[in-house]
Amino acid sequence: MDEISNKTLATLLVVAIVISLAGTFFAMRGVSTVTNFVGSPTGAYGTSGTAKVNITETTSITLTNNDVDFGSGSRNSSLLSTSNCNLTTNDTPLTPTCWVTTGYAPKPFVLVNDGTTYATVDVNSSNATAFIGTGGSTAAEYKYVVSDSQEGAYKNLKNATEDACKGTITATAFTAFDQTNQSVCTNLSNVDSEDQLQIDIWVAIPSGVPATQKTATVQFQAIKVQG
Amino acid sequence: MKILALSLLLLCILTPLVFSTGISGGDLAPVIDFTPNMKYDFTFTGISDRSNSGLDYDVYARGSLAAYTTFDQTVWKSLKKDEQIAIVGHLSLPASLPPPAQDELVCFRNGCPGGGNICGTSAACVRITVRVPYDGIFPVISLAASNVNQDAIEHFVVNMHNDGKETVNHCSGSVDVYNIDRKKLGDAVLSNIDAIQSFGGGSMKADFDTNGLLPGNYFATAFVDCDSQKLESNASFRIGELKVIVVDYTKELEAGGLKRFTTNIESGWNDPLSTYVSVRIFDENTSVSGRSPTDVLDSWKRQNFDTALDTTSLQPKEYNVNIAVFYADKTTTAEGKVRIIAPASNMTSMQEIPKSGGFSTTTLTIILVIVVIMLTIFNVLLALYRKKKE
Repeated sequence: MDEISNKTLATLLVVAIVISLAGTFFAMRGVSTVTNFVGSPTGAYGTSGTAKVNITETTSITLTNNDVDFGSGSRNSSLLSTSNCNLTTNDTPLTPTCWVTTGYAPKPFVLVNDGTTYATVDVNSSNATAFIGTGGSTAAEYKYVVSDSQEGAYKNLKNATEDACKGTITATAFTAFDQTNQSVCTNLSNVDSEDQLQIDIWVAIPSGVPATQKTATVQFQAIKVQG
Repeated sequence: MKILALSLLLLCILTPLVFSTGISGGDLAPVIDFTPNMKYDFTFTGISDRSNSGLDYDVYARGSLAAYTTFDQTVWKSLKKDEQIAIVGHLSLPASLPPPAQDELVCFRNGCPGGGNICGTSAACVRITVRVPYDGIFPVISLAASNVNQDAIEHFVVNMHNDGKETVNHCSGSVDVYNIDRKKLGDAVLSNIDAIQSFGGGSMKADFDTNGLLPGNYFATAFVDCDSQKLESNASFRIGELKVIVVDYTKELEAGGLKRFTTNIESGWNDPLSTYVSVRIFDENTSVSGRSPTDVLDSWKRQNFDTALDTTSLQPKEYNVNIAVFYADKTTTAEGKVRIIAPASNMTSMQEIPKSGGFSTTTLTIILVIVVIMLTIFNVLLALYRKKKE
């Protein structure tokens, strides 16, 4: 059997639409016949009602990547003279030579404004001393940087390809966490195509830091932009 | 492309809204006015994360009002995805607070989803602001002035609000107008306002006739007396001239086809102007000309007007150009030079830009299939409804 051409198919569909519309017409006529509108006792059809609509707004953020894992590791014994071993969520190079670990694949935080309002976003985490501790040959470092398609150390790379921050990004270079609320973006868009930021983390581990598990929490906080 | 857009639209309609850690309510930035020992109850909806089930959540208050805030519940254990909970809180304010305002953030926060050395958590917050009045009266004013056209009336407005506890009985004043050298040119008396209560406000108005003033920039200062408190506020405004100037134009054009000639013009008028540009390129022997479409030139704006010119008869060399801008029964002309260059072989002219658009048969077929399906569903629903009624 020959294949039906698009032209024939389109003609058949137009016929189907005409039949369907005719069906709709008769069905609607039937409904209007069986639907009885009840008037007021005076015979008038004017009855009043109150229409109510309750409009709410939502401030909401999500971390589509919500943990940074530098893995379990140690300073490379042949490179202990190096002052600090820098670990970052920027995966170039993949694993620093100063760091001996397995399964090293730290990813940056990816923050999305999925609410119905523009939002001011800030971040809070412990400082380097509280996170990494003391006792090393030099001071530990613990920093963050914010990027979107226009600004930041990793602008227009990986998850930073949306023009998301309509306000100001202060931390466009790595900035130390200081246990206070620090700005991420003063006006983060909630429009789907431009609502995503990338937050990269930098940890510098000095030689001689006592071995123990190091963990920290990074809290992102969103507030509706006023005005 | 169009079918993709249609599919996305349908997907948007059919997909329910989902949020991550969120906070929802009728007003996410409420502002309330302080009264001594007042109580204020609030309720918001906390929304749990859409991707992680079983997380713990808490609510906290941060800011100068946090000390006066209590919650009915502060911790929620192991919430499901997209679960909604009620955050009920109470503000019990003291007899006095420092003016002009105090606030707090009420935040709904998820616990650590787990994993990693560094765990990210998110919190969504509501800012609650309490406006606190100053003792006595506290009038604040701001002067607003808008740009006007030459010889028009400038309508000054002074907005006044009272941030004090007591009522402002009477405000009166005037507006002085200065030129750019701060020389006073005239003044206008403001209308009075009376009995402005705490956190209330009003507008004082004055009309100033700019007749006789030249186009340009001007300054205005409002001097207002509210119950013997002297207040000042400044603003600036422009007086417009019915004039359009040519700022720039295309200096180099290819020979051999229909080419785009762009003229950048600027309006000095305070209203939009219906405008078009006429261009003539010529020397002793040859002349080509064209006219741009008529378009609206917005007030005080710079705007590009494109004119299509057929440069087939022009040779690669320098020509004279005459530009005429037509607007509101006036014309601005400008003259200059334009260089005609040899056409690049792979360049496209205005004629050669392919037109896109129109449905292919396949696209049309898919659209028609969707229409048939929707009509069929509608018919079935109508039939069911009719049967139910019968």
